[in-house]
Amino acid sequence: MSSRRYILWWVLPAAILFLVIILIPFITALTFSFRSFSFTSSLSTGQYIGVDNYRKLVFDNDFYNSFKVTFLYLVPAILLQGILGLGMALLISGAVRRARILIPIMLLPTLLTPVVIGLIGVLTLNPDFGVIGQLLKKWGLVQGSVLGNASTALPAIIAVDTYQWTPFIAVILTAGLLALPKEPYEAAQVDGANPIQTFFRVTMPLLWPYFVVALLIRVIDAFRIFDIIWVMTRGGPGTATETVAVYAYRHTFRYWDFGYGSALIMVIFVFISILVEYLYKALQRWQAAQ
Amino acid sequence: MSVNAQTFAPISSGRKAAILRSRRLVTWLSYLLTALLVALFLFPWLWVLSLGFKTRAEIMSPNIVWFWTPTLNNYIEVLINKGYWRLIINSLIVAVSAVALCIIIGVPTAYAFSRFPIPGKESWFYMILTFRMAPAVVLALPLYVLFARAKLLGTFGAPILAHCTFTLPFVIWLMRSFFDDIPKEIDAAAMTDGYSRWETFLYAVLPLVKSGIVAVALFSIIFSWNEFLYGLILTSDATRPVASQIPSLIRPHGTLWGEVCALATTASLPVAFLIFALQRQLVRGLSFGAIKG
Repeated sequence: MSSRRYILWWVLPAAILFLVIILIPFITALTFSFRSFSFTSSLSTGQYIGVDNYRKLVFDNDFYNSFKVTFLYLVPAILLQGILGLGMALLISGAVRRARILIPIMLLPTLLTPVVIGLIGVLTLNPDFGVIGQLLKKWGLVQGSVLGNASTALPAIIAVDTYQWTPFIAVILTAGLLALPKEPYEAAQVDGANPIQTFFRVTMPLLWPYFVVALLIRVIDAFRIFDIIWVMTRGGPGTATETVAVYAYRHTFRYWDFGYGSALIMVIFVFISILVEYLYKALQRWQAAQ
Repeated sequence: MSVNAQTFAPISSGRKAAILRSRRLVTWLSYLLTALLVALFLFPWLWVLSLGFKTRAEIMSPNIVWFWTPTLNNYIEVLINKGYWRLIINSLIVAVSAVALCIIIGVPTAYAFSRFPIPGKESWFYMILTFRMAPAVVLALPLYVLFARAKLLGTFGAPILAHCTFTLPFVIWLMRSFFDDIPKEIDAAAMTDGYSRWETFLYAVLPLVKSGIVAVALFSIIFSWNEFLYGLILTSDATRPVASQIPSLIRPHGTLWGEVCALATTASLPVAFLIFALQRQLVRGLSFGAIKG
């Protein structure tokens, strides 16, 4: 029954769609990455220049910087959202049991698109008329503009991102909490466990799969972050908030350097595929250990 | 719950009553904190909503204007005069088509990943997750070239297919973990009853993951609704989704804040409505067995 040809029918539509929307573009980008495009030439032409784009990339400090910035954003943002999301879920799950309507209400920030959330961040942080920007200036916490300062721009982006996505994590964890079985808790009570022991020995292990899935969704999407940064700082000041996606955008769509942009794409793809495999295996090991 | 326990407690010794009282106090305290937390997260959203009803001078005022006469000018200007209400329809067309396509194609694939001995299964699976993680910038240019050749630019086909690049991997990934939670014995039982593999999938397994599909579809719609770059690069004015058009309200002489807020709150309504309508399914879907990484 389950011969190879039979299995193929199940995955064929998805395979064809991936072929068209991922593999063909990927191969196009691969051929572009060995070419140079000038303003005058059309997209289809371009000149073959071998591995020059890749050679240029190896010596490009902004390129390494963009990876550094991506992780400087990603790690604190995910930690913050994970911890806050967990706290929020623990707090609200009791109330959600009685008023399920809290779930859609909590998701409202997630529904304002990142572009809008970013713009609202710009408005709020404006030192002259923004609600938060004025306060920060008055208290002397920030010199001038928050987003114009290399040391505060990235934290501001992390804060805005956290506002949008913490409820998302909390909703997944709340659903998990509501579905936890009662028996382990009764057993813990019989054993005389205090609330802290119960949390770490019973709740966390049971909740762990939900936590993993919520964080994985966020890590995968955090690596793609572009729109919030684009509207808030455009990667600036300097390259202080220039993540991988913003950097690739600058070269591809502002300098119209398709060749170099495509070489970047190839390297990013290889990097992500290694990261995903490593991350996924680590999480599975972690989960098995729980 | 603590109320019931107290009512039906047989002979409540003093200590027992004290414990129940304190437990009730904790419950109410947690409700109070919940209310505060919800208010904290809702406040910026409400603030955005309020800005949509303010004039430019009121928005740009150095002091927050707490009391004002609400104006509908921003809504009229951006939705009717600029005609951006059509962009919300565009967003609906793009998000719903992309998610429907990916559910129809992705769910059987996820089932195959869960049940069949696909050679090199885990490697394929990592590859699919890699697709999801690729920034839109990475695929936007090659997709532009492809769609230009296929004469798809300026049609809804372009943004719909582009959104599948991140929706399809998401659907396959999460749906696989839902199927993994369904015991294989159910398949076996259905097949001994004479069902074919396809019938087993359709009539025995699929009904069990129904709310899971709803949850995955809702999240996919949120992601699709929020997407920005593909919608900007691969569309014309007639097919652009609403999120991608918002930067057009950032003008050289200053951002049209009131219109941004009016458009943003209106644009979030259809998805908010969907989530309100399907909240029961969403919670059940998310808590289904245990969604695993």
